[in-house]
Amino acid sequence: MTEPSNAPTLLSRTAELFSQPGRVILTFFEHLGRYMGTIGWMLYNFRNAKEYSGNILQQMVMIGNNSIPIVLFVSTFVGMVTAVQSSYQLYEWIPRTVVGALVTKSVLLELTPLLTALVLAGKVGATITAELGTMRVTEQIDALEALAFDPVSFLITPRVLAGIFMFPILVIFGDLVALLGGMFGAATIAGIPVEAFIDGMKDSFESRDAFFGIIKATVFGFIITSVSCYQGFQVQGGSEGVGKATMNTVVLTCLSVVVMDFILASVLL
Amino acid sequence: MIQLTNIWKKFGEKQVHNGLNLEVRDHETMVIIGRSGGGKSVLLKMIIGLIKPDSGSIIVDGKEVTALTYRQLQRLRFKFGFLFQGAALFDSMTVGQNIELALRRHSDFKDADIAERVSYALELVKLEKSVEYLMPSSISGGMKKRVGLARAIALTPKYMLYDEPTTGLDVETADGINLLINEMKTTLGVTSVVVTHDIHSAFVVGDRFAIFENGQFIMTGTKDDIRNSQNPEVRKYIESDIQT
Repeated sequence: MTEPSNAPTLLSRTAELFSQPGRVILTFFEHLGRYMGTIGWMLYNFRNAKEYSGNILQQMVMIGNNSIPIVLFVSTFVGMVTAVQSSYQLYEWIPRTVVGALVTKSVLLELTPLLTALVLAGKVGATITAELGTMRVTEQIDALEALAFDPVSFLITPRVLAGIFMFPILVIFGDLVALLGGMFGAATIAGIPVEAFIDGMKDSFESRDAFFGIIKATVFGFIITSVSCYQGFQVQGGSEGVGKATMNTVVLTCLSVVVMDFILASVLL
Repeated sequence: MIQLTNIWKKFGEKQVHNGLNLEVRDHETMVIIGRSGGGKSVLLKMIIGLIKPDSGSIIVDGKEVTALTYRQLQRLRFKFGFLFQGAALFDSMTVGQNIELALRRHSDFKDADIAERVSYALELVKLEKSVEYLMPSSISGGMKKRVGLARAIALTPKYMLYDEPTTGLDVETADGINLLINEMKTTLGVTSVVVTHDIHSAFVVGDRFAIFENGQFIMTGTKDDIRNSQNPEVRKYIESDIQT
């Protein structure tokens, strides 16, 4: 008598093939639901935020002050490269003031908010997830709960508020430095006089562009801080879990920022 | 009094609690003895509502913990002090800030009163006042446990929960922690639940003992009951004590 074979049949293989994406979709919606639940809980307990004002200030320093050098550095080069490339792409008979206009529009509307967010997704997002994830695996979050603290109000709300407040400020600094960088790049590499660049800036500047960039920064600040906090809270296992969650944060926040950038541009412009 | 009745809990495919029952009487120290990774710490977290059982009843001072709202649960937690296995000190705060955190949030004490309470808590756990200004990363494992204990008793709890209080400590330091657990009982009159796999430590601090094996308590009793037991599973623990 032959024993029944355990080899996978065509049917079981097909089922396995379709169940894999199914599991991924289910996991995605499970996490989305938990994330929304966390945000809902944060908003529901928002009245407690004033009790943690010290934490909010501390996080504003961490997210804002400590990120100024990298934001200024990136913005300077963004401005310079935009000016140089704009100048390269323009035909000679196009007035040189157009470079100033192009740099202004590109920097205010798109480049500074987006690139600042992508840089901070790595710096701020990864820091938050690693910090909260370590607190999770070393039972510090359980200890907070045991001491009758609400860990969402104590740990997540201050970080998200700090992100919402500080990202726009960083983008405003970034805008200013990027425009200066653009002016410098245009003058030194592309040979465009500073006066011509400024004329182009004046002609094209609209305050709604700057305002639009600030709205983007606010939304990006919320996404990056809330997703990274959620990822930190969900860490399981030891240091390996922290590493994995940190990587997930950087990937997820970068993708979310890019998608939200498109949605905001479609809705607001 | 803490009463656990017919507690069931499963994590994924792993059944960790199979309908276990336990009663902790006021002012006694109940020691739960069992091997590591069996689900003893989960039990402690269930008592203060950090983890919910799949089914069963947990009653603390007449209140059903599993049926409490979040706010009611927070109020109940004021009655508890919890010493975590790794002490779980907040590493971004100094020792003093760790101890005073709950006092600042949950009491109306003025700064001077808080400072006094912090000093008293440090004195109870036999630490010098100068430790207050150190960061958790710069103190030893034994000191961390003492600070964790000072933090747990800062709000003068009625119940103390100890999760593996002597794990990872040398014999001398572990004995020091055992003495402190006994002192907490005599000085503060707390009711304690201690989870440990260290039978020697268990016999130093415990009034009654519950042997945890395969998701159930296979025996509950006094030191003599445990020592005289002929149950082979219980004998394993007694013999491990004799060997050490």
